[in-house]
Amino acid sequence: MAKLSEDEVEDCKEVFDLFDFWDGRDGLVDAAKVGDFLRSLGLNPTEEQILKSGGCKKMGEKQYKLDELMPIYQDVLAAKDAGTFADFMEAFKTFDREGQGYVSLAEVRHFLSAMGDRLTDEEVDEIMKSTDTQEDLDGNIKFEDFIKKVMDGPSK
Amino acid sequence: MSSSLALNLMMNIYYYISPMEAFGNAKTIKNDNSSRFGKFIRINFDNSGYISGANIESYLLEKSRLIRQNPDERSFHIVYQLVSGSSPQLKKDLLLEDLKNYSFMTNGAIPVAGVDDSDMLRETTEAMTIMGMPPEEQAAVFKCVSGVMLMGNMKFKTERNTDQAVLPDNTTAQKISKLFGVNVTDFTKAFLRPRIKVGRDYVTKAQTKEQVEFAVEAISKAVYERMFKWLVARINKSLDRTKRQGASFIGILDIAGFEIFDMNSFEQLCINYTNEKLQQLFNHTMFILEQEEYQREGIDWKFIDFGLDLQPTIELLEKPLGVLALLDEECWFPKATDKSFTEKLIAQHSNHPKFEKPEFRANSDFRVIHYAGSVPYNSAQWLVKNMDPLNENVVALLQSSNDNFMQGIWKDAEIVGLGAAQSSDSTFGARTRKGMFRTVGQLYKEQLSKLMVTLRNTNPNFVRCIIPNHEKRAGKIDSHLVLEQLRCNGVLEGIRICRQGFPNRIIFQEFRTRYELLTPNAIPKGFMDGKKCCERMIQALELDPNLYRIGQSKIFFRAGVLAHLEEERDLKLSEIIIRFQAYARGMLARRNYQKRLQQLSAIRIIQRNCAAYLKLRNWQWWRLFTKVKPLLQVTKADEDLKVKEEEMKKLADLASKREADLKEYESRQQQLISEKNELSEQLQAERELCQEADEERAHLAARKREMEDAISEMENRLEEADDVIGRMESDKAQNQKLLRDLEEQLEDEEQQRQKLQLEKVTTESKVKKLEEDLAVFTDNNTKLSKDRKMLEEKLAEMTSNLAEEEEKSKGLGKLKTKYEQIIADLEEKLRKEQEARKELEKMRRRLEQEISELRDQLADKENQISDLQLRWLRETRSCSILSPPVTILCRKMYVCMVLYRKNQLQKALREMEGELNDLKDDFDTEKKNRQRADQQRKDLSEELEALKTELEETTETGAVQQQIRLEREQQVEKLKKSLEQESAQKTAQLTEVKQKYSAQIESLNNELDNLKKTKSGIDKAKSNLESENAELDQELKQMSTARNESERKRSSWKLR
Repeated sequence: MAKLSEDEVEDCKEVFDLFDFWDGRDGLVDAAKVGDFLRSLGLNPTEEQILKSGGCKKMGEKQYKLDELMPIYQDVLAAKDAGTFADFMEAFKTFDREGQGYVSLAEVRHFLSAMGDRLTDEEVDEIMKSTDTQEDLDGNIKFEDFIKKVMDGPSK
Repeated sequence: MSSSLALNLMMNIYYYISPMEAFGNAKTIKNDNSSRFGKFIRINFDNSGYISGANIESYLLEKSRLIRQNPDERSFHIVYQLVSGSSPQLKKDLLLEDLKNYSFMTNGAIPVAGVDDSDMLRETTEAMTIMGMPPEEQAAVFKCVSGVMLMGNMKFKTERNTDQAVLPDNTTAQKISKLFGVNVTDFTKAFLRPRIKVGRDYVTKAQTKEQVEFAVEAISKAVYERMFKWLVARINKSLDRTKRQGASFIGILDIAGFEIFDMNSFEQLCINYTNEKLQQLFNHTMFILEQEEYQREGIDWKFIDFGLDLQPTIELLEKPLGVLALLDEECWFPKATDKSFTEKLIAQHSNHPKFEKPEFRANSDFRVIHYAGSVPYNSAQWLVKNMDPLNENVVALLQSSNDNFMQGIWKDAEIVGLGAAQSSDSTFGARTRKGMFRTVGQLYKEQLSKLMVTLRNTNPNFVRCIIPNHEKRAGKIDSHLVLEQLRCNGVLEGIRICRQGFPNRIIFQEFRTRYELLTPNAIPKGFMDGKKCCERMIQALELDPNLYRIGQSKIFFRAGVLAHLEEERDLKLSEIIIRFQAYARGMLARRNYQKRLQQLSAIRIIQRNCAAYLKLRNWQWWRLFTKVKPLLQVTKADEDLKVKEEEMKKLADLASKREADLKEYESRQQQLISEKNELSEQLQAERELCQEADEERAHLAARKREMEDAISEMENRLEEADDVIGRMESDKAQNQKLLRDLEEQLEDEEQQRQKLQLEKVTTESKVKKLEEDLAVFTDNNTKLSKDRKMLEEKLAEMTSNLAEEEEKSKGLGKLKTKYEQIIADLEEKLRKEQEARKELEKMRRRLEQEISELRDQLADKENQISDLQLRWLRETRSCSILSPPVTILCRKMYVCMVLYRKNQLQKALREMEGELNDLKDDFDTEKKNRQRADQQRKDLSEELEALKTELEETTETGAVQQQIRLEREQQVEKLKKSLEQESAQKTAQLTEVKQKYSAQIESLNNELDNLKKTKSGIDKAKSNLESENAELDQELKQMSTARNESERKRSSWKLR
């Protein structure tokens, strides 16, 4: 396995420090935070990937040092099978009955919070707020913009 | 609308159903919680797919269950819930009794396994509270139930002497009155002696015990039913909170299934009628529409006719003159009974393929063949059930109840009065029709047809409830029972068509949007029509060609294929969504991270500042700085300056603005001044004009005064002249009067003349009338002559006919002679034959004689032979003794000879016999011939006879016709004569009349001449008078000229 570059190591350290800073500066980060750790480093792992690579669902089950987190990062970084913009467009299109590039916000909310790795209503609210997504008079949103905004979000 | 509210509403719908179940469900033999009413629940959805409301409609509550129950069945749940579940306080408030004390509870307390009625009451009240029913409303509903139950406990008796019913103990009535909020005396009186309108007056009517009991039951049922309907309406009010119009809805229809009992009544007919219609809908959608769709979409499909059309049965029930219509009609007849209804029904429909007369000795009145089987119906009580009559007095009482709830449920009551239900009442028909009352059957039919319209506008799906066994046991399936049900309701055919057909279909466009996900690269970018897209997608999906068909606008799939596609789509979609969610989470986490990062750096800065402060805190110079700093103005100079500058700028702005304003004002002022100047100029001009006008006015006034003087003078003069004129005029008037008298005389004369003229006109019209009469008579004459002509023609025809007949008879005579000749010939032949026969007979007799002679000879010979033989024997014996050889030889010779002769004779005999036989044969044939000839003769004679009779007849008819002709001729003659006489008479009359009238006219003319003469005399007098008048006028004129002259003179004199 190729070694991480120096920059990447530096990034890891930086993020780890922050996480450590907020949970007591004991040089350890809870396993439940693995997902957020990876995301903060610019990755988009699925819940399944996180669990597979050592993340936990609940707090307090396990703690990781920086040295232990680095290989996890490396693993997930190597697994390059994230979804593409085209995939997402296809998925949204199935909900677009008129074929005009719009879907109902309610529907989007529904499949984000009721399908796949369900997001909570609060999380969905947060996403809508941070992408500045607002429904029009018919309750629809232009999904291309939405996907772009979600994918472009703060990269690091 | 947020999703949580929708969820809330969904839960509410669930809750709202439960009070309905408490009031409308009951335990039956088959089902512990059977709903005894039909319902159609609509759940409305708004445009974004959220539940926006709901609505429940109820059908046909089985209210008779309240009064009595079949063995092992219960009344509605709520009764048991109230009795066993209410608190002592509530019990007291509601005046509840023990279950066994209610006479409406046929079976007393029957527990339902696994259900605690008191728990259920709690659930019911809880649900009612949730749906927003205040405690008062709940109490009102419960009171209503309790009151209805108590109704059955009123025990009526018959009075000893009359049939009048009485209520000896009115404690129960008191309780009910309290619960219903009515006066107890009025309440009992309304039942026992209702006031009924007869003609224009109200009369109290005596009621028998049976009548009262019937009324009590009817009222009880009605109260409960109305309460139930109120409850449904109340639930609907709670459910329909949003004002937003639902874009679409899911409707659930839950209705009693097909019913066949031992005794089937009107309720069963209604239910079965409903089921028949629903089944028809099922058949229509499952089989007809499905296959039509295949054809429409051009799918290769052979139409299968399942032969499940139920229209005949439906028509039997609902068409005009159908069962329901006849029942309604019968309800309007004053003396109709259930029996007359049955008779009419049978008379009307006995030939209907779906209608059967009852078998002999069956206790049903007729049978209807429903899709699920032939159902025997008993028509007892149908008229009453269809009218559902109520005691008007009680209803009126309840309508004015002091209980708001009771009053409310009766508010819109339209009822058939109890009086109307008694068919002996002669005013029956007229009274009910007036009030636009509708029968139960009509209402139900209407409700049902509305429902069917709704259902037809939906995409119906059918859920079939199959009862697995009759024992309410889980896991046990009575396969026979199940199969029977499936067969009845057409499910088996449904399955067949599903297997063979393509039950899933989807429009091309929808198919594409929904499943394009599964075939990412099958469709090229840019436009492509739906059908081609689908074909490509199907290719990419590699489906077996047998599993799908592509139609005109839709793609069809066999059962299960679409579900499989849907599964794959779900899988694929959730995969992508998981990826997207990962991105979303990543985004959130990174935002969060950045926030934390910022927070961290903020914390760091604060920390640094805090550390610095801690370090500096005790440094003397710092302290000094902090103390001195507020005292230093310098530090603030800059700020002050800035503030001032800003103020200045503001003021400058203000000044410039003011300046601009000022300029504007100035320009406006100048404008105004110029306007003012103009106006003052105008004013000056006006003033000048005014002065001129004043001067003129003064001038005119002077002139006016002068004129007035002249006028007064003139007036004086005029008065004098007037006097003269007055005198002259009186003269003239006298003359005119004379003239008028003369004119009047003239007028009288004129009038007389007119009268005479009128008379002349009338006589002329009379003449005309007579002439018209004449015309009519001549018409008649021509008509009659026409008739005569016709008759003559007829006569000619008849005579020609007669000639023909005579010719015919002549021909027949000829034929007759011919036949007679033939007969004579035949008779001669016959005679010959007979002679021949006689000869033959003679011959035969001779031959027979010969034969007998020959036989005698033969016998002699034989005797001789036997003698000879005997002798021969003797001689042989003697010969043998004496000289045997010679004698023997001799004897032998002799014998031979004898034998030879005998043979000869026998031969002759045989020949004779042959001859005889031949003759006999001849004879026989001859006999036959004769018989035949006889027959022929007989036939011929018969024919002859017939011909003779025919001839006679024809001659007879000829005679008759001739007679008729003669008669007709006579008639014609007579008619002619009468006509001639009449015309002569008429002409005589006419001439007479003419003469008379001409004489009259002449006299009148004479009179007229006389009058004319007198008139001319009068005219002359008139002209004389006129000339006189003219003279007088001239005189007058002269006088007036003289007067004028005198006046002139006078004026000139005056002037002078």
